[in-house]
Amino acid sequence: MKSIAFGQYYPADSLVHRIDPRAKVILTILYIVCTFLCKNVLAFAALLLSAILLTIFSKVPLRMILRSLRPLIIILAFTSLINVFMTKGEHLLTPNWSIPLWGSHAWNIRIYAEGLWNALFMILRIVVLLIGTSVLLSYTTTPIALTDALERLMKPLKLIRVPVHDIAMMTTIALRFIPTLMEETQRIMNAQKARGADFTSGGLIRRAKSLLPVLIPLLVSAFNRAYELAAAMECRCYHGGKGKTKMKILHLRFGDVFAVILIIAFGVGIVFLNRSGFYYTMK
Amino acid sequence: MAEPFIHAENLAFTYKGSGGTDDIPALKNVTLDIQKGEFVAVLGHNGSGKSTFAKLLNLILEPTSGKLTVAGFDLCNKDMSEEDLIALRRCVGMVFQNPDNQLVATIVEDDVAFGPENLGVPMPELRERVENALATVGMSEFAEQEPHHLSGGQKQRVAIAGILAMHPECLVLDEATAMLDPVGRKEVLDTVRRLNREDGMTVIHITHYMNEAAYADRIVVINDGTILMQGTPDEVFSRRDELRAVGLEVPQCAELIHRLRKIGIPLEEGNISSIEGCAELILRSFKKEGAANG
Repeated sequence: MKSIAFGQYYPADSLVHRIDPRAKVILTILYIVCTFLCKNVLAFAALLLSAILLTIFSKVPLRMILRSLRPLIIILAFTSLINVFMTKGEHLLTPNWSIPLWGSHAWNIRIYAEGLWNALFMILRIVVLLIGTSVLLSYTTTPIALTDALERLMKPLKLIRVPVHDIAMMTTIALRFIPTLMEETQRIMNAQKARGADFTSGGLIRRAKSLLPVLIPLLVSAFNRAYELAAAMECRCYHGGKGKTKMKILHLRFGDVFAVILIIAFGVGIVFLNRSGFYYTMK
Repeated sequence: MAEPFIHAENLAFTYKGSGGTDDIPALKNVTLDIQKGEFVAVLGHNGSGKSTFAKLLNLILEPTSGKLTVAGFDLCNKDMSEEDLIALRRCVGMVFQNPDNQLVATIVEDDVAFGPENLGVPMPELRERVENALATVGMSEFAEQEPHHLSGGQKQRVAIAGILAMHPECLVLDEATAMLDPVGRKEVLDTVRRLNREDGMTVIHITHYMNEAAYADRIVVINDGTILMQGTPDEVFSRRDELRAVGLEVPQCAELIHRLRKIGIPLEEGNISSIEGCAELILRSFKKEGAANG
């Protein structure tokens, strides 16, 4: 249980890892906008290229990224099928196929070139969206740096009385206790197994029920931990965010600003590529 | 003598019962002075009230009656200002039993910084405090580790560093060694003893391990919410039968001296709280016997 890695953080020293987490949050949002701006072949080619470059710069192994794409296969297949069969365009590729259904109803299959393009574009968009966000955030930013960045970025919300500091503190504590509670779960499960509990056989409902004797002690212990932690935090003079200083102050460096400028330029570039009218432009 | 660092007079605390349950008096009539720089061990078995006493010292619990002053703060004053409360808690640092439940951050140095950050210590000094605190407990090389990768003793040392970074005057260990293995216990105790000897830190060590109490300047035995006896380790351990009656075992070496006396071997009074001291007593007795027999 020593190697619990929560989140998907991949520790490495890369250009992407070194970007300020606040800048990374902004970059991610801008990158998502870019993926939705793309409309034609050139733009998508540029987008794909950017995702490949990003992956190379991040030093995250390709197989890790591909593995994270696996659960997407169903969604990808579904969206492409819908796009292939439902898009109407001008370049019909199929003869007049029709499948009789019931009565006088029939399904006329019409596949247009536009449909194939749209399907390809949608796949690219979803894949790049996932690669972009995971490489920019989850693989290269520790959860704690992310929490910190979000606290700072949401600071203006304090004006409308959003308890930004408290939310960040709660998130930090939650992250801190994930491995502790996982270890505890394992310990309780082992204790129950030693007394003959069976967690692996039976149907879904039976298995869910067999987890109940694990969840109750876990919950009780979590509450006890919370009480003790609260006392320990009080002992360490915690009194909310008021007057609190920070040891780790984030400094925006030139590189961070440059990265943001670069991605804005990339977005503008995509808009121009869209207008080039090259080959096929998505509606 | 100067004003004591901690002064308790007829101090009492009662856990208020809720619903149908009765009030539980945990501490009654405790009168005790602790001087600055002293290393005091508070002994007692489970439910004796020793932990309650610790929690009163920095107002995690509020005294029910009696008098309690700590570092010049009157803890029975019901409307203590928040600034005073924070100043008191900075001054009296508390380390609890379960290291897992005291660490707040996911990285060791961030956790040590938590206390001083709350106190509003500004930056270059903050970093310096964290580094010094980690060096004091010998955990510098683990500064960037995640706490859940550390052993119990190491985690507890990080917790102590987190308190030290607030620059307290007094360290209260509330059964801080109870969950540790022998190695971890030794790590923590060595750290605390060094702090007491070298930096003059007042240490109050709440424990039920007699061996650990042997290192203290003074032992206070609490039973059933009152002080049963107090004195140097040698004085306390020589009252073995009284301790046994309340469910406490003296260290093995003190037990040995007791039994030797019981079977009629004459042993002088002396240092019975350490193995070396006991060995010397027994040796001296042999020598005397040897001299008597010619």
